[in-house]
Amino acid sequence: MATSHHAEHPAGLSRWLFTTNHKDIGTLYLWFAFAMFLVGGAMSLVIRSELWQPGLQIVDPHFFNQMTTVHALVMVFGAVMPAFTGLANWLIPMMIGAPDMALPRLNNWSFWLLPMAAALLVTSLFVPGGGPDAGWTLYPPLSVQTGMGMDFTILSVHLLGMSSILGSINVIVTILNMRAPGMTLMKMPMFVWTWLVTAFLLLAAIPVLAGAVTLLLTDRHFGTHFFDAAGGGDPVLWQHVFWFFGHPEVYILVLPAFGVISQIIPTFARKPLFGYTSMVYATATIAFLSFIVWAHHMYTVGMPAAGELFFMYATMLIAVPTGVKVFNWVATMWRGSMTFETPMLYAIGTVFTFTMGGLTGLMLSITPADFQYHDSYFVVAHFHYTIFGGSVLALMAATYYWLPKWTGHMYNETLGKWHFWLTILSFNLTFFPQHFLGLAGMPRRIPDYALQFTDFNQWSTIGAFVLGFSQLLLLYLVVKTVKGGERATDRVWEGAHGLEWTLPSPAPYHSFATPPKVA
Amino acid sequence: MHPHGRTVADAPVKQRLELRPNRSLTGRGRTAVFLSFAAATVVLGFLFLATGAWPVVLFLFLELAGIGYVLTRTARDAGDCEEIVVEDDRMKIIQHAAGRVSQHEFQCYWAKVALEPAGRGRRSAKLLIGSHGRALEIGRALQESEKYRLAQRLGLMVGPAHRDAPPLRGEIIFNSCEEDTHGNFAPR
Ligand SMILES: [Cu+2]
Repeated sequence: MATSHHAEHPAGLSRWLFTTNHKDIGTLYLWFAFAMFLVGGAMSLVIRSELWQPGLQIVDPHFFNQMTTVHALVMVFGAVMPAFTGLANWLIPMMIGAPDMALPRLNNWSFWLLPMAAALLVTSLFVPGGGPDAGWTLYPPLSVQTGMGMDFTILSVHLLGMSSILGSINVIVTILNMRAPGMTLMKMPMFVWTWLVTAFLLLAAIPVLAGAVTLLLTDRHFGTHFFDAAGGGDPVLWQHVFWFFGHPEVYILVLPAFGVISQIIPTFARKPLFGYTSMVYATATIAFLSFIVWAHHMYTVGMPAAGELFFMYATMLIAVPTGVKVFNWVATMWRGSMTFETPMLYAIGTVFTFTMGGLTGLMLSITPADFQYHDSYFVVAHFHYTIFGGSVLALMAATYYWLPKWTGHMYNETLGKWHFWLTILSFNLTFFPQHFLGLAGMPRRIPDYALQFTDFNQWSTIGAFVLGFSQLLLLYLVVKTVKGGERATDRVWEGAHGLEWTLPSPAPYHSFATPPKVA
Repeated sequence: MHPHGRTVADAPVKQRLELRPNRSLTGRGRTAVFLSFAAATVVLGFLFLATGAWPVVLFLFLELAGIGYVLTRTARDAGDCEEIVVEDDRMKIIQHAAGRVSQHEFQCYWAKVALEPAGRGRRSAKLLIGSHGRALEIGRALQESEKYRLAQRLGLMVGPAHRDAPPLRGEIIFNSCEEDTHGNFAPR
């Protein structure tokens, strides 16, 4: 009876435009994120092409700067954040036994702000003076002096922030108010926990970003001098305010990834997650610490030594809860009955590469050492290991893990494995040499470099092209799986536990449409 | 004259059905959530006021207001439920929505249950009950397939055949699930 009516949900364009269904909105977020991933990826290939050899060949330096800036903004705000919000929409209601998100109409708004923001950001590249070219950190005075592309960017950041805030409020109310009877907080799946904490981080961090870019706007157009030393302001104020948002932001990008990994490893190790309680506390600890370490991004501005020491030790402290997580994942695999399907390969790959990024982060946290690494390619390598190696690889893991639940079809495992090995190898080929480049003294955000850096740069460029084009394989695989394929069972994976696996595959338009229980 | 040749007094059955969405946040929980956000806003507010970046404070309070509004709405909607009471030949529908109570009555014999399928862009199907040109939407918080099931049950309670309907008592709890002995959750 139930399934025969699911065909009657609204169809066509208006379904997507006006939808308030958490699965539709989740799908929209995920496709939007993937499109932005390709756009941002194309920009990175412009960067890598220019860096194929020393000297200026393909683009002029001004455009190069726009590419580094917009690549970062698109990837952070357009690809990774929306992708995790897409996962949240799809999975949180199913995981906690709720029929939908708590605020379905708000949910529709949160999504549709994103394409507008993205359009603004991309259009900025075509206005007189070009797009934003101050780097994604938008440091003044550069960001105050540059062309009107920056105004587009500021407006775009406001819209992106509003979308994130609305989305976070929705996630928090859903998790707190819509849990099924018996689903206590300490029984929630780790993915739900990490998203709850992430939503709190977003609510604390995004208003700070919104305030910061507003200051930038008034400095640009309304005669204020917040960041202008000549007018009594201070450019370093921007750095404090920006990084107060910016450091929690990296945990906003990576905590849900930790959640994904914590769902996948137990499934393929066929053991419950080791140390669930410690995982929850480690997540909360990381979130708290992320607010007291921001100045590790600005050791070189001339802070008092006491400040540098405080931020150094506080930053190093983050290694403790993060270490707890890595330990728990390894302990979950210990003596497990492991199999290595694509989601598991990606999950293990994430643990490896993120740990690598964590270790270089520890190197960067050491104040005197950072004076050497600061603004070098070492930093570029470091954060790509955390954001690509942590967040993006986890997103890939999540895609393969839940795709059968979403589409009702199994993906092609051979293609999936090809995609994994191509991605992980080319990722390391792209970014591992950048550590050496940075240590040898190559600065970041330059279109030209000294001759001795050529070899490592060429490895990096080859890696980037293989990495970029390998993602078309993922696109092909997903489209093919959506269209058809071997039917997925409800549980999909032998070792999978949790409410979402009790629903049919594909998950029905409305979750948990159980027969009314008449007592 | 009753169509079945019986009078209303023959069958003084009282049946009651309650539709109540599950809500896990208590009043104290709501207060705690709001106070924690308010505390964070005040602390961050002072921090940014001290650094001179005062416009940040505006955004912080704007957000706090948004959170407050949503929590107030949540509190207001916490008691939302619908009661369907059939007494003698009358069906009484009491709707508690957003803190307001409305009551509607239908004659079981004349009432009709209709299910309007989901249209373009609408969230889900509409379950309507009505008679004499009046129609009332019920079960708005229900899932689509739950609406179909409820429509079936109500269909038995109204119209000429309603006398033969099995008695309905108690309460509908939907989207609920329970824990099995392995600590896994499954829908009930
Ligand atoms: Cu940081």
